[in-house]
Amino acid sequence: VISRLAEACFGLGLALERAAILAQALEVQLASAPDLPGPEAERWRPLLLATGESARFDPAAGTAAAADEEAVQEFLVWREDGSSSLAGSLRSAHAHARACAETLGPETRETLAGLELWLASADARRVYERERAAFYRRVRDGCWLFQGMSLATLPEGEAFDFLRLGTALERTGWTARLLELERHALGPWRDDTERAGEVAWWLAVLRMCAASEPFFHGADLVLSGPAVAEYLLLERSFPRSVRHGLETVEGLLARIRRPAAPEVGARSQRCLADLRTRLEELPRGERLVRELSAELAAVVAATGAACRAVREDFFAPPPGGACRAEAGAEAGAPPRRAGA
Amino acid sequence: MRFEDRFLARRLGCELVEAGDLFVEGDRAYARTTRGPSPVSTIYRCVGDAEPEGDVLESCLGVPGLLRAFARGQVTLANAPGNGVADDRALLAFVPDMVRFYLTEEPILPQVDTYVCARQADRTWVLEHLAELAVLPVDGRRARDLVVGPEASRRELAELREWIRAEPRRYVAQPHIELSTSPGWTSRGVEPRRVELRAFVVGGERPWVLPGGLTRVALRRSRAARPGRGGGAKDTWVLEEPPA
Repeated sequence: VISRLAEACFGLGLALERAAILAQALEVQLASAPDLPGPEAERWRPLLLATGESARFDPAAGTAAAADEEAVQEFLVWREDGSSSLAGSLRSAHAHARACAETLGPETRETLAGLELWLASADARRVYERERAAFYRRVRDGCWLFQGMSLATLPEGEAFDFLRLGTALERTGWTARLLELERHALGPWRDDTERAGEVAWWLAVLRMCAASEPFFHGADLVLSGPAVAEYLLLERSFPRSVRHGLETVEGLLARIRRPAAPEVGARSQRCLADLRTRLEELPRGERLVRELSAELAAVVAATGAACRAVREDFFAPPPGGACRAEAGAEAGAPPRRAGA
Repeated sequence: MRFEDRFLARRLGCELVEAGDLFVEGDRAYARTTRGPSPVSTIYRCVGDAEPEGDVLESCLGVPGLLRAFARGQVTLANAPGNGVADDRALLAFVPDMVRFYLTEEPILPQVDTYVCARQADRTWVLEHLAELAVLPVDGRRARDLVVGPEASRRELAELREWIRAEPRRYVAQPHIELSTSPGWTSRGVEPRRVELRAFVVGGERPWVLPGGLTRVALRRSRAARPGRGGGAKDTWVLEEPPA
């Protein structure tokens, strides 16, 4: 596949998953905030920290503004100065979709274009002002509709694999980020009086990861820090767990890479192997919770590194690599014809 | 990218690429792919004739070195620089002679007389009969400059006269042919519209003509079908008589 096309598919997967998760997290935060422990002023700060936006928010709005839930939501939804806000992520997704339009079917293209157009409309702003939860649900559902339609309608192939690769990597990193919410809220030190608050935060984390129902279906699972952390990190059957994400990414990468040219994609593979080793060696139980912060930081860093490695491996071939690639080309494969 | 480019690329099994997807190394052209650089043997350009800047061998379509690779025979450009001469409408004047010269045959179909304004005698005659002629630019990409004398205003004819005098090489003229009409469905009901048929010939060892073509429909009161200014098109089939 032409690198530009694959990169657009990959970027589309990343951006759309980011928008979907952010919309889901904001909706859950909005609904959970009244039940969360501690002073009202501290209830939105954890989400800013978990999304990694705190460093941008404070200089822009002031540290005290984190107490203002409207200011936080305005920043996370509408911010113009970057692509990581909800609106920015959808704009980025739409731009990537235009760049790989020939890979996407008309149905999926129209779904995404419709969502992005709606978000830019006065109606979206009106719904945001009057029915905040409905606004988040509409954005999240639009993203999920696109993902479902792409699974249902797009032909399998390398371009589609890159779309799914972007989605899986983004999702894996975000599950780790959302697991950090509880620590951001309560800090590393706690006692029995904070037990109720801990439960409220873990419940919110489960809901943000759309995991509350699957989690409670587990026969022996009771709501506790170790149980939630183990479930969201290691549960193989749950599609938003870190382990499931990692296995999905490894599977896709194995399909994209070719035995005939093992050097292509080697960096990405190494990043994932490091992460897998780390996951396999995770401590369990209370010890996991004690060491959770470091482990989650490692997962977030590893997924970020994997994203960079994918870009370097597949989208930006090093100069002077022509001969290397020719040697690795499929035997008997004819040279390409191209229309430029 | 245009729909027709995507469609044709898909049907032909070709990669549709942008200039940034290609690079030249060691006088060979490559496409950047997820599996590394992939050698490219043939390129069909879907872009306009932008003038390359600087060293013509170093700059073409934003792919440095592509023309050098082409000049050294390492890559084929299906529509190479210079092919555009075949689109020059001034060639129309010489087609009957070309048929006689290359095929030693008389043309089966007569063609409309074409006056090349670059020739002094033709130009004088064209300027005297401008109101009766259709004047076309030689460059096919500027079809919007087509002027149909019988429907042009005095001012348009005066402007055209100046253009021809200033750049005679850019224009040819043909007697205006009154087109046939065909019924068309409009907001005012069924109305006659002038139509012209575009036939398609498939080349090869034994060229053949497609049993149909594209009928271009002129706008109301217009004497020529000009897609750039509106109008429409109809699919056209030639029905074969059943064998007796």
